[in-house]
Amino acid sequence: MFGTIVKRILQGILVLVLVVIITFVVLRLIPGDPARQMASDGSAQAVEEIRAEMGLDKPIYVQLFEYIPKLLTGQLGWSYFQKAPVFDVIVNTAPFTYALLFSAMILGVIMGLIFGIIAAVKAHTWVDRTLSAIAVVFQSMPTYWVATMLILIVSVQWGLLPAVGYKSPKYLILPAFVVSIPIFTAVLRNVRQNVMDGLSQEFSRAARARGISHITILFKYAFRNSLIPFITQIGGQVGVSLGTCVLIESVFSLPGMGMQILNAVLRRDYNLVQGLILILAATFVLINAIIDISYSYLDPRIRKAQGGL
Amino acid sequence: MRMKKKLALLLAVVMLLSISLACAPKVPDSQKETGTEDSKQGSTPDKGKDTLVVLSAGAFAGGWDPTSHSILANKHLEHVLYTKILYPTDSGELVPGLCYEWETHDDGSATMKIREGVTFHDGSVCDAEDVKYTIENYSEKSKPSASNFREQLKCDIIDPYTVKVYPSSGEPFAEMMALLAGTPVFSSERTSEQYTNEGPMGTGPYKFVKFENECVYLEAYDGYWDTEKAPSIKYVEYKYVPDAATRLAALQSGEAHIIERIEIEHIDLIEKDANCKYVEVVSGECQMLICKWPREIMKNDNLRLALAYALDREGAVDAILGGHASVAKGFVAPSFVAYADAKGLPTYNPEKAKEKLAEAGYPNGEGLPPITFTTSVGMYAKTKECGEYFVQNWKDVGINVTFNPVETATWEELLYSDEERAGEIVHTGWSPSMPDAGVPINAHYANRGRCNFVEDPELTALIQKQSRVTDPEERLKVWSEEVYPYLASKCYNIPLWVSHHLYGYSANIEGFVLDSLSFCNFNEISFK
Amino acid sequence: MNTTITATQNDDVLLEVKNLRTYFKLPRNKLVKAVDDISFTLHKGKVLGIIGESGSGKSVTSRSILRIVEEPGYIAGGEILFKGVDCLKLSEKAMNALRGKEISLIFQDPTTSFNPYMTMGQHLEEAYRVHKAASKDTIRKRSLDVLKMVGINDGENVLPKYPCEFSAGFRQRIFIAMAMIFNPDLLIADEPTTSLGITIQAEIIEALNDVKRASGTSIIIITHDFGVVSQFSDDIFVMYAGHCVEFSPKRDLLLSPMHPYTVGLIRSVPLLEARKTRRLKSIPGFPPDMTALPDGCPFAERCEYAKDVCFKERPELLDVGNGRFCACHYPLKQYRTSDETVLEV
Repeated sequence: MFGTIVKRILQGILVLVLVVIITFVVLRLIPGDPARQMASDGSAQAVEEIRAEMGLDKPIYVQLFEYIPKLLTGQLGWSYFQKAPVFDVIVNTAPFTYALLFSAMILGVIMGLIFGIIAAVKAHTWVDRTLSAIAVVFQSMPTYWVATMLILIVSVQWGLLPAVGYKSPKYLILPAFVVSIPIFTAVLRNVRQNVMDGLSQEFSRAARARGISHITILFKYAFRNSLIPFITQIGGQVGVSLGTCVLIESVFSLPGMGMQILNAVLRRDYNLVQGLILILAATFVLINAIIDISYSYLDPRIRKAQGGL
Repeated sequence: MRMKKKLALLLAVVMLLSISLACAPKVPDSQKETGTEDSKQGSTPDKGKDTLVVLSAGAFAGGWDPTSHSILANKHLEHVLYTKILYPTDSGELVPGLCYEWETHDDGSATMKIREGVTFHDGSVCDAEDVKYTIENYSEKSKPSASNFREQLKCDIIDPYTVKVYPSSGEPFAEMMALLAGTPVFSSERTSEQYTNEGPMGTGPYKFVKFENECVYLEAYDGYWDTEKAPSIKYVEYKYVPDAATRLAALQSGEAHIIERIEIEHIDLIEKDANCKYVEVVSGECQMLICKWPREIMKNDNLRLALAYALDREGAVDAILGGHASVAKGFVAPSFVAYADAKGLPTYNPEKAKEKLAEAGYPNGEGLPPITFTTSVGMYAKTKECGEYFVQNWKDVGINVTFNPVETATWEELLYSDEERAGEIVHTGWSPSMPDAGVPINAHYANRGRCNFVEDPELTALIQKQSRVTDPEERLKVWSEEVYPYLASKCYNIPLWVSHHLYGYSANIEGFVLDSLSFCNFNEISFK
Repeated sequence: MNTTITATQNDDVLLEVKNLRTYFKLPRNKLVKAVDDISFTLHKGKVLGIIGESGSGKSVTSRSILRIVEEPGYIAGGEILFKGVDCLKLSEKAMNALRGKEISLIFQDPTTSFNPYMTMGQHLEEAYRVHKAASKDTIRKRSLDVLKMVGINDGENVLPKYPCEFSAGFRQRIFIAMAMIFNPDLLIADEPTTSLGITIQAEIIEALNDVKRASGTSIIIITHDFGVVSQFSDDIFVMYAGHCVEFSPKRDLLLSPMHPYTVGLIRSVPLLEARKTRRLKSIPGFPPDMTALPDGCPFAERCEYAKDVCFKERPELLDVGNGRFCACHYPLKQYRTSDETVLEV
């Protein structure tokens, strides 16, 4: 068990190292010049001076070798646009993104679970077909469009919820709902399929033959057995949802990491992009590592294969 | 048994939701008090409200030192935080700002009288010392704020409220006063650290409270010197909202009172909404096509003229921009000091374009080397559509142009690049916050043009000539009879049109005026 | 078609199935009569073997008795009298009280019939608790007892382990133990050995025998393998295409089968010690398409003795005396298996 955790951590670190190197190189290879962004309409000479000051005149590998040791000591560098340490920017913006991500995950997962289980229990009836149809409709709507429509209806027409910025948790409701939609549809389909599979498994039938109630079979047998594919899927959804968050934050001007990253990419704020991507990647890696490790707690077969806890 | 299970499930859901809400970022109470959360309904009048909400289309840069950036959003903010030395009007004149009286001398220097009794937001007095510090720092070559200054300006303190300003080289230049018009006066005592930690500080009608969650919070300054124009609205929230549709929604829902940069398609929606209005102002931004001089083919005068004659600018403005731009008749925006229509500026004439193309040595485009036209996507309105329109225009006269629409940072790099990859033609807009024709013309054509890299000693001499003429009328004559006709005959850059600012605002406010440089005085706005 | 295989001594009848019909509704209005009008009786302490090829309706019969036929299947009619009470008329709740307590079902594949996330102890405990509240100790004691019944003496080591830690045969024994936790009056074993290896099969049959001896429970054993039923059934019930084709005391059936299908089944039994020259014979052809059964005898297509009438008229199940029933137009009167098979009788 301990070995597994160590292995997962090493894998995670490897992934992060790759992420750092790839973003570092790709950022510098795509056209666009942070020094020009900084100098705006300044002269070519001014731009060259800034480039030298930022160390961008050196070859990429030299820049990378200078960056990595700093990163290892926890220095994420300086955002030239924000004129602040990247670390501070992350500390200020991360809570919004995480609040959005986790509330959307919770909302999407709960809705997906409830309706997925209902759909599985009522499989092949009109209830199931209606739910599946709703899922397909939701799934095929672009999130950006959904966000805009929700703003128009809920904020403009009804005046129920605010559309822009962040002052209190109620500013999170609309964006969280939008981000939760892809999670909801994915979880619904996954849970429906797996619970249906679980219900048709021999052990569910055997449990019924022992007089165990439907509801117990549903949760303790069918759902319990769909937990691993379900949790695996949530791990994958974290990545998708982080992407949705980045987009949706800009629509709702929620001042999180997503809005920062869009601006930082547009302005070629290398250090900031680098820092934000590292944090987002680390979030993804960490959640998936936790999920992988949780398998062995959840599944006795894996636990036994690993030789006990 | 079942009941228990359901209850447990319900409890779990409630717990998870409350955890996620508890994790939500905390906002200090003070901020909530100033909020306009309750003014959501567009139909609810804002009577008794004390917060003006303005939505910015651009992000604010941190640091806050006025010399450290040339970011438009920060300049908008500085307009209400600071008092500028002078203010330009849209008719091309300069009116008093912190300096209430000035006199220009033949040697290129100027004496300026500074208002007494003006205080900074921290209560300290603003005097000649601060003005000197401001001018010398703001125009220092290494500072981003100096990008439009030909050279650094120097200042001598004559008495605590009088300064003498002059070019460091001693060479007089006519646009010096216009450059001062855009300069916000800041304190000589404020350090860079203070800017970073405490934010900007000036003598303007509003003072900076804080910058939080992409929103700048302002509060009316009690000690504002111009008591006639003291702010009527106590608080301002200046919020960055990148998405145009979201800005419009916020205006319609009553969450915002002023929104920057509405899209052309949104005008109809605003017209239909009784609670919203929009304002359209001819801006100081002249859009043009940069012809890259280092490309051998662009050195051919007749080819550039052929390109210019082939462009149906009226058609593009009507068909694509819906008339929300003014076709350029000169090389800068009409609101600029020393503006005049450019005599001989090519207008749409396909026949003439074909003639010029033949004269250039490429009859019907035969033997023409490849030409690439780069434009930005997302920087100005409808650039991609306009670009496609132009490519068709050129094709009609036999010029085949490869279209290269790119993302803004890439575009910006190509715009300032003289390398091969920058291609032959780049679309841009130019809007200096110092509205004197000398500023952009000098940057674009004198010595080595900043974007087109043109080297034309004759033109450089002409530009220097106008700059030495200090009498405004004589100077204008040099412009309209010598500089502009010469530019029109060469078309090193091809002017397209002057863009319009489109801002939306709530019907509940009055006194909202937008100038050609997209500045607006929040202190003159009140709720109905 | 109303011939009922009735008990000779009515007082010790445990289960009486009368005219049971279980159908499956398929898309496009197709109807599969998986079990069509079958009847049989089981006496206390006796073992009934139901034999037939896969798809003949054996498993559906067992599930019908417990009323756990799944959608789109349903019980279309008949009576299932368990201790004189018609199960089909009981409420779902009352039925649940029977399942696992008075009637237990053993499944074919022990590798899939346990919940992989529950320990054996939890399985046994749940099987107990669902019917009766009791202390952990009581349940544990009972669990160890039933495990002993199937020959597992180190129950303490078994209970905390998960199903994945045991071999298939061992799991099946635990499953039998779990089925016995309330000493049910009826134990239905649905192909309990099919998925197991030959040597393990013998162990399981032994375990069932042990259980029967220890508790006196009645058993219905469902199989397609005469080798299994021949060992400890009292009566044998041969099913084909949802119908009963022959019912008879085991000995008579094995020695002189009357229905050609029964003969076919007997001939297809592989025999361990049969080094003798008998060739394993499978029944030619395939089971009929259940969605479109012929009007005549469903076995006619594959029957070497079939005559014209067999294709036109369906034979009824007739009492042929000595407690034997057969549904055939031309039952085999003189057939003797002894000359070619060595079934252990």
